[in-house]
Amino acid sequence: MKLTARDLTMSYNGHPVVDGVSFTIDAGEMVAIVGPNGSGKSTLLRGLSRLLKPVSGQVMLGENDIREIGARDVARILAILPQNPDAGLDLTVRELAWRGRYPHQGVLQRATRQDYEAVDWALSAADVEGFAERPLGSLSGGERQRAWIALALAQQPRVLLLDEPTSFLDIQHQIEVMHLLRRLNKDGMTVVAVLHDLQLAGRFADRVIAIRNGRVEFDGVPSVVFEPLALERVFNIPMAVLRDPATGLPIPLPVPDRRFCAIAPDDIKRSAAGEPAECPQGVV
Amino acid sequence: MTEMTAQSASDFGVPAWRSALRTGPRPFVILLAGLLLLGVLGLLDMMYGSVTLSPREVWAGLTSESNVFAHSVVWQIRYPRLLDGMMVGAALAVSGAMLQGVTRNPLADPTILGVTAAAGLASATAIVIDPQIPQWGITASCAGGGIVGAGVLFVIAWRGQVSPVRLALAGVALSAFFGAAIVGLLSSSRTFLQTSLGFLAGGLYGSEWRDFRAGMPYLAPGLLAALLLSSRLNVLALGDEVAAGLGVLTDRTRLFILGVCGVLTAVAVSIAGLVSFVGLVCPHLARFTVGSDHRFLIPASALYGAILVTGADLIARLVIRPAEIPMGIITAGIGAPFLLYLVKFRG
Amino acid sequence: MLRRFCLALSTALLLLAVPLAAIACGGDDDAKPTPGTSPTAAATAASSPTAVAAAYPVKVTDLLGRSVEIKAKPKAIVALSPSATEFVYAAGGTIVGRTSSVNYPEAAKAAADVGTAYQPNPEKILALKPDLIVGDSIIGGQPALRKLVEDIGVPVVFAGADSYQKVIDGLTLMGKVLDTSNTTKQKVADIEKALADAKTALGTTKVSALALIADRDQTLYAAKPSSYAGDVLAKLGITNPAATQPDAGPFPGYTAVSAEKLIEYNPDFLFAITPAPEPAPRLSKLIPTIPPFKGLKSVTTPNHVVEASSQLFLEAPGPRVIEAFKAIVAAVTGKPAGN
Repeated sequence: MKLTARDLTMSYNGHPVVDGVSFTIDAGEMVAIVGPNGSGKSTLLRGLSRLLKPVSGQVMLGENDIREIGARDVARILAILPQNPDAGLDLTVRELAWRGRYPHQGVLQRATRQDYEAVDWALSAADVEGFAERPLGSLSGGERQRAWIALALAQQPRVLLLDEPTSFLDIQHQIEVMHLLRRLNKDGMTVVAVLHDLQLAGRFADRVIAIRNGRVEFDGVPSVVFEPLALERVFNIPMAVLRDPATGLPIPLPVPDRRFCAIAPDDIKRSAAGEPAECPQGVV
Repeated sequence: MTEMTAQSASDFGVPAWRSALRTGPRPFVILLAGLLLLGVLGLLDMMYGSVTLSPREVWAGLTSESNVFAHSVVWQIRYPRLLDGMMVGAALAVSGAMLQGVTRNPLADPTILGVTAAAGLASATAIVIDPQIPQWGITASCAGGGIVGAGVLFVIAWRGQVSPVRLALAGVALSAFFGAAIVGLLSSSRTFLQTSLGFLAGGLYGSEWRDFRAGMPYLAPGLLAALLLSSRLNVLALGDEVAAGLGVLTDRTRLFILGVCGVLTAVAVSIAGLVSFVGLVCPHLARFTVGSDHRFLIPASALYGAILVTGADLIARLVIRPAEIPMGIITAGIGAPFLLYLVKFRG
Repeated sequence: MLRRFCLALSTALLLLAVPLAAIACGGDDDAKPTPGTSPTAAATAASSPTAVAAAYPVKVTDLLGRSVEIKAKPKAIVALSPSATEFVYAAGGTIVGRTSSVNYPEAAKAAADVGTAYQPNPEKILALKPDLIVGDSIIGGQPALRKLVEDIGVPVVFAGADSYQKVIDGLTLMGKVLDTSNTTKQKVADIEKALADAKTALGTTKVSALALIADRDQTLYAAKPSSYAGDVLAKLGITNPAATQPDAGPFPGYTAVSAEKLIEYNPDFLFAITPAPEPAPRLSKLIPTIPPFKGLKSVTTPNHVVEASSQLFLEAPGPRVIEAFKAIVAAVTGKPAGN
């Protein structure tokens, strides 16, 4: 199912945060949305998922304007996992996953065979079956994140939106979660994730959209668009792009910048006057 | 009849043990035990009072007119009072459970959030305007007050959307405001001089069949609505964003839930005045015993509410018989220490 | 799950109540069940055509305007207030049950306590198997309480007084109810004579007085002629400066009196009523100690601030109005009450 943003403008407390953004995400793509803090990427994601109402512009799910489809109908196709969700510590993983069946349940809330199958599938796809009966509070960060992904999967969506799914995880769990997302994507799920880690984006995404000040700076395949000047424009810091020898995929890295050595008041004055600062020995 | 878990699972070829894993037999056992306890309390309630009846006399009084005295006492006084008390308890407890869910605040209940006071103010105003007002009129004005109170709560707490924190804060302010209005109204209205204490502290004195008949048209749909809202409440508990992502219209749902709470609270206020702590204590007890799935939490809360009020009323009628203490004092006496325990040990 | 739950629920409800649904729809308490405790419930006029001009059954209109049929001479009476009690005794009857504040006459104390006047206990009342309840038309006139008493299922007459005339009416009513009209006619005559004597004793001098009560916050209220105490004063021809004030405050028929207003009225006499029992200080002792009142006529003249019995003037309006007249006359004339 295609997800299209058309000239999308969104504001938050009166300030425009997303400004005339347009793109189309085809079914089966794995897209990373990157950008500096405050660039509007989280807001964009919320607009794509019907959580926030845009000031102008449209979001299309398939051929229909997402705001014209009922909230429940949207939830049957599109699942969003917000940043840092919290459900208290007593819920078990399975109970959490069951809540994801809400969009599919009728008024009388009967549990059907489809519900059972969906939950079972979600638990195994998210690789949390091993601890499905344990309460959320007893899990590690990565396990808990996968449990939330199981909740999203229980909706049986075709599009999965995630807002910084790896932000609070250690590196092992970050990789775990990204592998999970890629596996889901290979099985046909459209995945759109806001990522703060450029290396994860470069390694796992088919396509990267960079947002700065609410506008699209670049949009394309990482090996093409991850290019030092473009990255510097977006993130306001000099970047270099290495290549992973094994895969050929781009690895963006920040490079030393003498700008950051201007700490002492004299240095700041000199730097403001246009003279580059002197970095002390060994500081990069 | 709707079939859930066990029945549907085996019907569709999913083994029964799987369904047991999902919900477990424990909630049913607890609910059943609670019902039995309620039955015992109900029997005690009908046996004891200013005069003591034996169980046989209670039975005779319920089923025939052979023992005229027992029949009068049971049928006219104690039985309707028992049913009214159960209605009050169930209504307040379910209302409290829903409010705690919708504000995501364990310290929420209809009294704290001002819904009780709004209903009470409406009924006090109605009685002052027309002292001859019949019971169904009192219930209707309570319902109006409860809904208006819930609506005001929603509107004040709304700023683009309703956050649980703002709901809680607005509720505390409204509770104080409406409560003061009630006290002002009662102390300046001569009609209430002597009965105001009973109203303010909450009690079942004088409750009869007309209270039952006036309250049922509101209680039954209210409880049903609460049950049907269970899955929405479950989803709301996961956070507004997750809930919206699952297709719940959070603001509209909140408004509706508040309205249902207003109606349920109104039933309780119209029968028993301002009873406090039932809506606070019972949902926590229910959560402790059957978990936070609202499909069990709501019936369990109703059950515990009925038990609490029935027990409190029994004590209230016995302690200084033939006079009685307002039951609200007993529920406060049980509820306040429990609240302190909650704050201290369960955070 | 829902079905299992419903099964459990219905089983438990069956345990609790036999036809729960039937009662909910059919149980009609408004059609009062027969007062089965009346021994002559089934008796009709046909069964008592004997001897004396058939006094029963008799139809009376009580002080709330209700028409009540008394089928036979009541033998077990429950009185729901001090006034109601005194009416019964003044009419020559006795009681088996009374409310907790009743302590006059002495014989009434022996009757069973059925709760307070504002919260009588229906169970206790029923347990006494009364054939008549005498409710208080003033207190029990409140709709909720009135309905409660009526629904007990025993014949009820309401008799209470918030004026001199109602005392007369109440006595007359009880005379009819108990078939002791001769006794009550005599009592009424005594009361009327007591009033005439009191007026004579007071002579033609115009005297002004206020009857005062204080509430918990020490706010003073003065009786108006629409209250019992005020009516007693009015009947005696005593001027009441607060008579035209609007009702204010929690006491029916009383108006709030601020310190300035009291000084403005400056009546000859102050009759202070203290509802609280000993050892609470008497209002009559407190008033002279309040600085703004130290210059009042009634305070500076000895014995002009008089403690008026709370029983006589507030709690038990009724046949003891005779004592009330005597107390006022004694205070005004300075002579102890004569017989």
